[in-house]
Amino acid sequence: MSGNVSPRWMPVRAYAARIAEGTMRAAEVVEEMTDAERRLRHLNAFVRHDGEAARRRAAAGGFRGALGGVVLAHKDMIYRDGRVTTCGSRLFEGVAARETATVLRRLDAAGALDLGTLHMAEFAHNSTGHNAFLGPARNPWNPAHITGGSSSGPGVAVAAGLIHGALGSDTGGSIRLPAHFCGVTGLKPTTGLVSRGGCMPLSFSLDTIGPMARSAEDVAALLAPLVGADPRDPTAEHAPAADYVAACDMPVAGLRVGLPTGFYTEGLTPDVAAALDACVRVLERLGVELRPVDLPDQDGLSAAQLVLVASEAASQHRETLFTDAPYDPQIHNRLVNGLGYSAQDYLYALRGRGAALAAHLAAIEGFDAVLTPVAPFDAPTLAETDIGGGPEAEALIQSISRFMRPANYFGVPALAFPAGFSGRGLPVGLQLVGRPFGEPTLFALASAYQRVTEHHRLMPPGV
Amino acid sequence: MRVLSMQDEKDNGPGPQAGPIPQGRAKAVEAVVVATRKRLAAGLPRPAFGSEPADFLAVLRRGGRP
Repeated sequence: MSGNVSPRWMPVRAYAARIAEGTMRAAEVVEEMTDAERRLRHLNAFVRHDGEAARRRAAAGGFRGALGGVVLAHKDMIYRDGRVTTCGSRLFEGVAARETATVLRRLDAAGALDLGTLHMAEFAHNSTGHNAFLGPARNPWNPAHITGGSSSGPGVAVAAGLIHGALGSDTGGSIRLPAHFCGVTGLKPTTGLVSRGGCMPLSFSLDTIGPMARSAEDVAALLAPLVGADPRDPTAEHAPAADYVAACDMPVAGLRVGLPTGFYTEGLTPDVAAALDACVRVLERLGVELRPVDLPDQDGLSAAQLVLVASEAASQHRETLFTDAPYDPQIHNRLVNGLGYSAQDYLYALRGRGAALAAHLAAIEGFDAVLTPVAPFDAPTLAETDIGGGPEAEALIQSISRFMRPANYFGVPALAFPAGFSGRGLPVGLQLVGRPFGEPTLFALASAYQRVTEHHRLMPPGV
Repeated sequence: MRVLSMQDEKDNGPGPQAGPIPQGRAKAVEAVVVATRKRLAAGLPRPAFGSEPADFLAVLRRGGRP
């Protein structure tokens, strides 16, 4: 990247270093990003833009921490005390949060600026980026196409250079899908690595909070201050010590990456298949050993994930589902469907999780990671996917997220990154799925790949 | 198809208060018993706390270690 690139597009660590040494002013960067947001408002990235407050905070200076002056904004379900947080729903229109999420406290302590809240699917419960209350988020590469969801706003805002990075949530692909469709990098962390304290629950067994940014190095820089135990989230009590930023420079020659066949190669468009092949060739040139790997029944695991998320989401909304609460019909139908599973269905899916993970770990014995597509296709149009709340909506959502769900069921980390473009100029991403707490290996592989490729550096037209 | 009534639930509903297991359900229970005995005879471990990887978080945390 050239030395005179706009600070909107600078790598996080290089930018923070310029702020720390006083050769760049964060307040001016906030103003530049605020101007860009006004110009690109049709993309519908933000729910709430706090540009003036962030500019004042930036002008005050005195940043401490590794993310001093870095400009972030977050999916509108990560609470900050006193700030309206809608969770993408008319139910919470105008309702302020009464607590601050642990992840926001940690980013504040690291010196990051908070530019506001970002578009999302209502209650994080669809994978397209449509939202009847907020209107659809639009893909920066072509506004007639979807962004993917449910972390739609983070995908748009990072891709359009409106922020340096964002937090999203991933229960069944909600970070990785917008990363794929919008051409950014996003991490679904290992279950328990990042606290969910003070964030909206969708599925308490599967929810994760993770960073999205332009590159794996930026994602690693954002992840570093987030990790650690938190009494507000009992799952966030265990994390092996790791230097995620340093991991980006680890050598990758000799690492072994599995290429699953069957499930993950079915129905790929030629563009996605070509991106996967090209990535394999790049990794091979870097000395990575790639071999086929046979994974256990991914369809069955995917179904088990669906039972968990449907049952748990329905339980979260049980008290309001049959009131006159103004849900979007599609989200309401999906939540009601979750009431149809029996306790035995739910417990079978939940109890099988440990055994399934053990079988998965046995299958990938000897591999450091697994490489798969994120979705079988590039971003469909908004019109193609605006199909209301009937059974076809469920089928569409499942077709988009079918490669995503096993990683959530296993709780393992998965890093989505840009890997090319389709014939119609839309981004195509891939995901590296790791071993539990294997984020450093994923950062090493993706960073090595991104050092020799340009996909993650390209900017959408007109931004 | 006949619609089940509250009386059906009283006659055939779950729980020990319902009396003897109805014929159809008894056959299903017997099938499970036979299948389980076959699994045990084949050398599969019988379920016990700590003998199967049922604790997801424990497997996740163990899986992260080399």
